[in-house]
Amino acid sequence: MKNPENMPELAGYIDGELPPSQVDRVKDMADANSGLKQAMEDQEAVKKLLRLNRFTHEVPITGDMMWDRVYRAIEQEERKFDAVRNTDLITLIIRRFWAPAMAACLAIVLFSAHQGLNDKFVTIREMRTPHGVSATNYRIPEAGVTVIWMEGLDYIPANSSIDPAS
Amino acid sequence: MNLFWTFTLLLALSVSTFAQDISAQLVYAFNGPVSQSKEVSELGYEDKLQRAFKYHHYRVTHQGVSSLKSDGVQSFALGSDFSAQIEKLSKNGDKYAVKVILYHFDKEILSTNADFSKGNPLFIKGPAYDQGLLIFVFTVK
Repeated sequence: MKNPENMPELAGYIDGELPPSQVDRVKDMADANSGLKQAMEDQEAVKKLLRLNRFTHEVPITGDMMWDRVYRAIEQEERKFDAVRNTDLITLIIRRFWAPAMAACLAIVLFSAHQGLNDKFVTIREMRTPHGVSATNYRIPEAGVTVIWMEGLDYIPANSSIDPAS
Repeated sequence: MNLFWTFTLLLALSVSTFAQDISAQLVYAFNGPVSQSKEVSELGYEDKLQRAFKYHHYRVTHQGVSSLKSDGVQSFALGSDFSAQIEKLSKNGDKYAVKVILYHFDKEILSTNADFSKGNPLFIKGPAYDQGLLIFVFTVK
């Protein structure tokens, strides 16, 4: 009898590729031949081991996957470069234009303050009065009034000669 | 004869046109609730007072009216404590340039020149009084 491991029927049997009539025939042969039976058990053990370990095998990197990695690496590098370039642009703008920007801000603040004063009191003149009372003549353009603001007058408690209702 | 009456009428009209009354008021400005003892006056220029002095309520305690039709000094008694004198210095359109003198009893507390016109009153901040402020207001009627 030839070496049982070289029998094509054995490989077909192990792979489950034999028709039922041949399966029975191989089984009968194995029952009659201890060497063949041992060979079948060994092959089945190997097949079982392969089945158990098939998900741990590392997937080989194909050509497409390699190029994907290259493209991704290039994109990452380009993004890094863009970020550096944008930072440089901002720095350049700050360095070149900070003085005009500050001047513009100052002008806006001064203009707003000036407008605010115009909306309130515009001093026309200040004066001293005979009894130590200081007075300032203001104009309130928004309200359309002239105000003379006296300071230094003594407080007057409530009395009916000034306010008959009090 | 008709010419005489026409001339007289025109003269009277021109005098009445150019003769405008000036009103002087002593106003008490105060905050807090308005009660019977703290009535509020209808002044017609409360919004201007509010912008200038920031008080919520205003009441006229004394007032006087005089005419500015001729040059000279007009006196206003604003109660027994205060009085004012207005002297018209010039007139330019609706705008009057006047000299204002304020007295507290017989003490002169202010003497200055100021401009005001119809619809543009002159406010003078006076002394603190009670829980508020006294304001002298001059308006052209």
